[in-house]
Amino acid sequence: MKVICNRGALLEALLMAGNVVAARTPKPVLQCVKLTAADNALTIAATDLEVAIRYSDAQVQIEQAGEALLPADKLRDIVRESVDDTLSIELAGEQAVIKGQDSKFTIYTQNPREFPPVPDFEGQADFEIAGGHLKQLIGQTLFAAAKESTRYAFNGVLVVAKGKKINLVSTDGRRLAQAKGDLSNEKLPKDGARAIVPAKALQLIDKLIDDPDAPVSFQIRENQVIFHTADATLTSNLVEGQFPPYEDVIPKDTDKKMTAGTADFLSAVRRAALLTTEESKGVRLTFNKTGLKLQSRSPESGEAEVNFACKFEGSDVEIGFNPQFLTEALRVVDTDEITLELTAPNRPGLLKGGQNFLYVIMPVNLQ
Amino acid sequence: MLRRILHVDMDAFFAAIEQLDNPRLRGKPILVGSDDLRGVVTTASYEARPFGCHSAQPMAVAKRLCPHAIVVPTRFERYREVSDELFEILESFTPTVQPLSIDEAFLDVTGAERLHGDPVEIAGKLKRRVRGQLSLTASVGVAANKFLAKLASDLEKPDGLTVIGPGDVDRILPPLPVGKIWGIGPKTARRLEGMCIRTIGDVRRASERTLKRLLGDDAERVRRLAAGIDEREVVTDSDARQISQEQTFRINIAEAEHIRGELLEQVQQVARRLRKHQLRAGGVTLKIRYGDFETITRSRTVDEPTDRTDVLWKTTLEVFNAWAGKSFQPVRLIGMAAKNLTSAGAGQMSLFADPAGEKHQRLDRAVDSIVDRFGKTAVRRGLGNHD
Repeated sequence: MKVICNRGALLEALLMAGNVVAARTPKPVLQCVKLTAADNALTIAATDLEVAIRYSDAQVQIEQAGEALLPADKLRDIVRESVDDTLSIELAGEQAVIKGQDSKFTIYTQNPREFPPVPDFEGQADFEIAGGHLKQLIGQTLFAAAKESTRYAFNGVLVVAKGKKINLVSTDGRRLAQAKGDLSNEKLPKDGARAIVPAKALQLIDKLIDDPDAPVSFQIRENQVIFHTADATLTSNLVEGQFPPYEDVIPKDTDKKMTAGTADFLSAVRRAALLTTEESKGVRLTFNKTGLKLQSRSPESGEAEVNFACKFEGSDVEIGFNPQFLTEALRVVDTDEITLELTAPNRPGLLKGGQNFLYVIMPVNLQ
Repeated sequence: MLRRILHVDMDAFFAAIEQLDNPRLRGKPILVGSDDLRGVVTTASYEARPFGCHSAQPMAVAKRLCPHAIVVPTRFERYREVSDELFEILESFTPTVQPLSIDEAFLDVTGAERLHGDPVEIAGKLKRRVRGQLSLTASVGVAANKFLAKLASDLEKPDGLTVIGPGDVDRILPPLPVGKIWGIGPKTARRLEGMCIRTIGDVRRASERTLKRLLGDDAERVRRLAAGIDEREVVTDSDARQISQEQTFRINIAEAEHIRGELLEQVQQVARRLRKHQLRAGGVTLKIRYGDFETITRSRTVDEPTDRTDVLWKTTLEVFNAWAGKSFQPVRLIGMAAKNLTSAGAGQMSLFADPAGEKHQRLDRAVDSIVDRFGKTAVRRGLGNHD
């Protein structure tokens, strides 16, 4: 194998693949990337056995087709630190030689046949969605997924595709985000699908999308989801387990409603949250006809009070929320105005931004 | 404001319980502890003390000093049972009870006069209740702070009731050896003695510079204690930053299963104390001490604050197994603490019902009510399958 690569494009590909390479693993091959030079492109593949990526770098000149398995971190460091516009990578026996104008690195390789298979995107897409649109849906839901919950289903985002609609839902058990979107393909070979996609896979696909107008295709298999963009194919195992009955917890009987400017409400919550602490993570919201009062106190530092003018319909109510849960949602709303619907201090609040984003948030008992 | 602090310390607790449970041991010198090569005396009865026997002494030495002493094996479970009853009595006088060990506690009875009388009356009542209900004796110290109260309880042991009032401080403190000052161990005491500072009176007379040189940053604290000043609050479980249990073994324990068994007991007790005080823990800390006294801690947080025995046990076991899997070595002390405490009703509510969790909570409540009625040995968890 011998290829001459544009260093910038190669670095980008290696950084992307590096997100997948296993950090700690008893299998040394999983700390490698597999390079395949063929058909005018260099394919860089990496896997941690949960998520796998194939990234195609076309800014190369293939002198000799072939494949090689190289330690991901060494190759990335060499490419990053090099100063040349182009680098050549050549396989000589069991060593790879990477040459710049004034540098030459020889690194030991591993047997590419020991690398687990990294699937390519084959056949027709089940679904298609514009890249920018998918990025938005991911941004509006991924933040509300749990990080390391023992309820595994909370660590992923539920993706439901039906008809021409796609729906992303995430929860950590205390709040829930739902974003609705549209699929873009005309013909749908599959009539519906439902899968819990791990957070890591969605973070990666979000990074892989660089052209908002180009479509992202995907297939949902029994235990895998496969995404395909112009440059890359990403395969991920699905999260096993049952997603909770989320539709049941979206309040339907609210009788109080605040309407406010998104940015103004965000600012008010952020200011009120300045004096909360790790232990007393709660802001008290008191709603009445004239508007909203937000209060917080921290035993160590003091008290905060923000009076916020807004429209409020319904009877007076006082409720506590974790301010972080509010601000995280308000940051991803794409409408200028939001509504916050309530029933009682111990019942969930329902925040809506337009027709397509809703967010359920359980209160904090302030006592 | 003048505080009213009681220090309650049971007299020869383990030995007294053994004599209570076995009338043939009454009035006789007994040594509680194990009678093997490396055995240590955990408690010597008052009858054995004139011979020079005391706790923490090698059993072989104690037996040489008092050859006719009867050696009785330690029964921690029984002592814990009595201890539970003791703390119930203490808590009937004031909610502000700070447990120091299985048989020792501080009580803040400031403001309890209207209900129970002045502090000396309270101390008397308390001693009578302990004698009446447990058939055991306690020594109680009464003073305006924790340091003086603890000093007081020690002055007239056993069965003492000692008051150190504001007027007594300058009479009682000066002749006492420096080792009586809280935080001054034998090593520091020897260093002070090297400079002719043998009594609390000597500390009072020592220059600031000398103390600073000998004690460093601790000098100011020691000087204040020597003057009888101590502002530490009585901290109850519910105000505490953590609720913990620990156990020192007589010998280094090399069987992981034995340690797991002890941890399970501790988790059950800590979980019960959390529920009793309506607290929830945000995580657990494991404390491990090796034979050479090196002590390490390992912590883990839980998904959401909990008072459930099963969750705390699972988390504790994960921490223990992670440590044991990598770096197991024989253990001298094992302890676990529930930390990041929040009150049970407060805090973030959950969106989804958790039927399995609710089942565990019902189980915990059922076990608690059985334990409340019949004692801790009536029902408890087995190690079972801990994979």
